[in-house]
Amino acid sequence: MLISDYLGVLVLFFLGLLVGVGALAAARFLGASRFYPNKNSPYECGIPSEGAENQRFSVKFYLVAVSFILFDIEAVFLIPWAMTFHPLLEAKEGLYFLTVGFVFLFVLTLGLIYEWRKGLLDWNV
Amino acid sequence: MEIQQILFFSFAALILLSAALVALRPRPIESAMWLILNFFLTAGLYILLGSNFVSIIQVLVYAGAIMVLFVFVILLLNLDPREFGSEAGLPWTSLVMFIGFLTFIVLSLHVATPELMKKLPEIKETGAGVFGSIESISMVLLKNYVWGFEIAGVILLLALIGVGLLAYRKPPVRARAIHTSTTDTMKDGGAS
Amino acid sequence: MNETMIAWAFFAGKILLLFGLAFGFIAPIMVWVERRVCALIQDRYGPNRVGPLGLLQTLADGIKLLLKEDLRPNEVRPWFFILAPIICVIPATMAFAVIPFGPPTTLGGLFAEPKRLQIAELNAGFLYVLAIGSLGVYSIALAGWASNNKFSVLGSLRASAQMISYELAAGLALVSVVLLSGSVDLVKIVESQTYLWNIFPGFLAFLIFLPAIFAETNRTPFDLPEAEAELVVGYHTEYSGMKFGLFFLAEYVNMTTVSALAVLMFFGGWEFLPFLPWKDVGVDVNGLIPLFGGFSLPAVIIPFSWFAAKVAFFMFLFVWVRWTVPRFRYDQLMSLGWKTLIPLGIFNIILTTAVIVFHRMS
Repeated sequence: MLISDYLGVLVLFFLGLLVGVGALAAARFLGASRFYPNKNSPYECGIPSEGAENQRFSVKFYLVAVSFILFDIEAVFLIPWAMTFHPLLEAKEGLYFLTVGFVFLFVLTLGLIYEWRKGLLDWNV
Repeated sequence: MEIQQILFFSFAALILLSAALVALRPRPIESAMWLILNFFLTAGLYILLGSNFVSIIQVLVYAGAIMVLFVFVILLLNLDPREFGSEAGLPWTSLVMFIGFLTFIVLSLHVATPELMKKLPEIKETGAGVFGSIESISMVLLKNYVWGFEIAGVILLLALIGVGLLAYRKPPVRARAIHTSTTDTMKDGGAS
Repeated sequence: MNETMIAWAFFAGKILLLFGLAFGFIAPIMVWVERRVCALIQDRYGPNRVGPLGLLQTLADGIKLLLKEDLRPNEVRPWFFILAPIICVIPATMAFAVIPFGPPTTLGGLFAEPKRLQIAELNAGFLYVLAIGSLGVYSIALAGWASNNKFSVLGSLRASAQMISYELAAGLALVSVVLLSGSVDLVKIVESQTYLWNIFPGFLAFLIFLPAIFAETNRTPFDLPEAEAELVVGYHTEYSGMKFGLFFLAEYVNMTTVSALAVLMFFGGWEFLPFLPWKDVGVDVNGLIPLFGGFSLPAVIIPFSWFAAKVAFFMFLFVWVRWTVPRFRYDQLMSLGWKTLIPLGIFNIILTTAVIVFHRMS
């Protein structure tokens, strides 16, 4: 059956959860507790924390994430395309396969070239 | 009840629960986490439907890529809950809107499904391998829906250009300076 | 025993073997190897006091981590701070569900038909590893956010941006493996490499894939998220004790998974030599090896050990590179990913298809 194939995934999920929760719980019970307030101060080499903790960050990170989504979806489209390679070769439709894929890859490359020319891929500005 | 039905109803209930939590939790990052769970459970529904490939893509694209953007924006803005203002009614408004939207989806699916079902045999015939497997979906995509495949590429290109237009700013001249020295400290040995 | 019970025992055995190996053997040994090799390269001794050759050092460290005080700094967001390391371990564990560790075998006649040595036989194959692997970003993002410390947030942003960029490069490299092998199923990919490993036609793809997996696992030269000179240790600045230990453990488990993936994708998995599979040397994976005293072992242990040896080599490579190559600067890292590896990946796909199609047509 199909669903039973996923049983292993489920078992591993719970094993992972067990390791995570188990290790933390064990450390909580076994761990030493010689507490004094300074132990819990945020890490800043012993001086009080400098600057606002909720500062804003460069928009570049946002750009990377959006570009990632778009290219990731394109890569996802490429997988089914690649899967048909051998069947289509058998059926002597290699050129059809090439045309379809190259048009798609061309569009993908256009996107990359656009980002490049616009300087969106430069990090040091 | 069969095991499939039990699984379906438990997934469905959990999906609704997590979706409600997305709307109701006060902190954006919490909502994001519930939304990731929601996508996972939806992938579970796809597995129950026999769509292996779609379920993996659901995790890969939605949970693994689109939510990364959400989490990034949350981290980047790093807003304090105090900055949101006190819109106490907002969670409930969103809950009501959510239920309304859900009803709309269910109703439209109810109307549209018979039309889709007519197309199913045609798709089943072209498929190599098991229905819903990556092999059959690939063949259908490349044979029957090749224009959709290409147009998807163009749409993604347009989206990319949109991003470029939104986020592009002329770089200030000063910042062009590149650091010339790199100092690297080695890490100390392993677990310490 | 009836057949169902054997099947269940087989299922449980596979899980216990892989899970036990990854968490109980590979991760501890790798920590030791890392420190010993580091010492070797830097011309010092390394840990050599606890047990023979210092082999028990990791065990001692593990006990130390368990006995550490469970600290939760004042500024952190409590639940998420604990959740992040747990979320880190779960995808690391789940990712090896589809990794096959030997050829399909009857285990010396135990089964009527050859069974796969793979925990879950998923149709999506390695896409599952990519999908689960991409979830590792969240634990890092969450760790940074929950720590509520500027070093942590910046470190986690860097780590996530780096991981997603290189995930793309790895994905494009693997598309060309699909083109070569015609499947996403890891067992079928290995079987397609019986006489020609993918490393030969797919050398360029491997050159893209290798740095990508280093960056995915946040290892040197791509360990910018930790860059202690600028960011303390990035997203786990505020983490100590067992919570830090879990991040550390997950790193080694992830290393194992990606090493196995590299071996399966490019180096013929469990096959013997590039042009010489086991069956040509006379090893029957369904057979038995007789031992003394009437006992015998399933012959599948030979390809399994060979596979393990190949994976071990890659793990060693991770360590070797870590203590040899200096860290990149962040802009260099991003431009290597977006301006070199991704265009190269697209070019490689075009090259691979064109060569195969025109080769077939002529």
